Amino acid sequence: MIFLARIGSRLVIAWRRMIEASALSAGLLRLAVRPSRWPRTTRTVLGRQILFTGMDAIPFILAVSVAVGLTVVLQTKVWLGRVGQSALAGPILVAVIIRELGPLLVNFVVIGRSGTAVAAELASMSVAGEVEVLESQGLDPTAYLVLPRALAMAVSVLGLTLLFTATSFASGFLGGRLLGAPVGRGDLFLDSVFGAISRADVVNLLAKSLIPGWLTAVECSIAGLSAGTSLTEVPQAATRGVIRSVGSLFLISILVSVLTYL
Amino acid sequence: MTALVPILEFDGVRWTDLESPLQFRLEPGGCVFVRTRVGNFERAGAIGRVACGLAAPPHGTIRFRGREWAEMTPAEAERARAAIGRVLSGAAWISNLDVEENVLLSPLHHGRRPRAELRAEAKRLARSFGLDDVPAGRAAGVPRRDLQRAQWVRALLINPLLLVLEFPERETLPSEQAAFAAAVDEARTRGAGVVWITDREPAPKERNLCIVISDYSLSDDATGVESQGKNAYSA
Repeated sequence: MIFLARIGSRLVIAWRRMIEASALSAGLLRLAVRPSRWPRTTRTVLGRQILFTGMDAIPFILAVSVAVGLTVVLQTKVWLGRVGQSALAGPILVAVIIRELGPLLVNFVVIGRSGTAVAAELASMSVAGEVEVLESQGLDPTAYLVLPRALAMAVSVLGLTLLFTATSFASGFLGGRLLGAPVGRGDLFLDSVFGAISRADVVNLLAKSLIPGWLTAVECSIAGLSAGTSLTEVPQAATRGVIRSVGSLFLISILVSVLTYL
Repeated sequence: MTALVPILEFDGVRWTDLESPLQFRLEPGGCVFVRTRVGNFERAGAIGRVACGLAAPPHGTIRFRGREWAEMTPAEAERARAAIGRVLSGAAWISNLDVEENVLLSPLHHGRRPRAELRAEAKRLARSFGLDDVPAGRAAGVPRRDLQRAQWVRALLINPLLLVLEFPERETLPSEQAAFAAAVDEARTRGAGVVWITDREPAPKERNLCIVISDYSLSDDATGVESQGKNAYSA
């Protein structure tokens, strides 16, 4: 009975957390669809967050995508060429890179870089009483702190995923050429990849980039803003934010894959 | 003739360690001087918080322009707070913004005045308080005295309807305090109400112009810090 009660209480907590994140997301979406009503300060924070989450992550994403290109793309091209199935390279790479690996790795990078930073920053603000400073000036922390971060993370994850995909394909092909591997002609490779991309793949890529990016910001903001008064809660909030973001990422990835391909 | 709506009303507001309630009506241009025991920043913060509707008082009700804070929607409460200039006794700065960004934050968020115009106004106020300009850089690297004067600039920059001042004179020189008092008087002539929370003896002029409420807790009496009555009104 105690065991069942423990499972039950954990499920109730998880359910409440999901409701909390959904409610905050719904409120943010209502604000997000009316950009004409955003205050100037929200736009400023949005710009800064895109710079931090999107632009500053480009060098690292490029490095990861080149590594993936040189391993996954090159290996796929070479081994399929050896067994005379080069025509399958496009569909296989689209399935691996565009459908799964690209959005997943980019989301991991963004959770690791920006999710932790958001959770720690907002937790520090809560602990130091800075959220009250905002509130006493009539600033809604949701509109000023959470909305720009959610929008910036969603847009940045999408942009970085597109960059990751393009770079990994390019680096895989060019790397193979430089190493003298049998990668075939570039135009045929491009035709094979673009020919394999379906409308479902585009929807899948958008959903797996925008939704987890948004949820990372929401989960990390909730974790940060719910920190109490002790400094020791800052790292705890960052950990909570990351764990919940990773959980949301896998949940969304599975759901989107099931809905788009089954 | 319609009666003036008070800017702020404290109706039977009481903390558990206070014997008598805080009770006042602050009319436009009015001033309430709340005197706490020496260095009681926590009490000042608590009064400031309930005055701005950020927390409910343990007992009693608080009305801003005739409406209880608890009755307002979040958006209404935010609009109301946008008209309150507050000098905080505790944490007062957003650490990941420069002091100038902090000072301009509220008017940029709520209003449409151009940034350049706000900067010029902030600079004018800063100079009137003895600063060259609004301090540059993050608050962590700015001397406390300059930060306190920057808080004055922030509170007055929004043309406030209500000023909630928690130990505003802290860290500053008498000449600077006089300049601040003059700026507060000017805000009052424009119709702003003032809640001035401090531990110092009110000056004779303040006694004449303000309602003075002394906030004596039992522990204060025990230490002999104060010697007058409890939560008394005097004109």
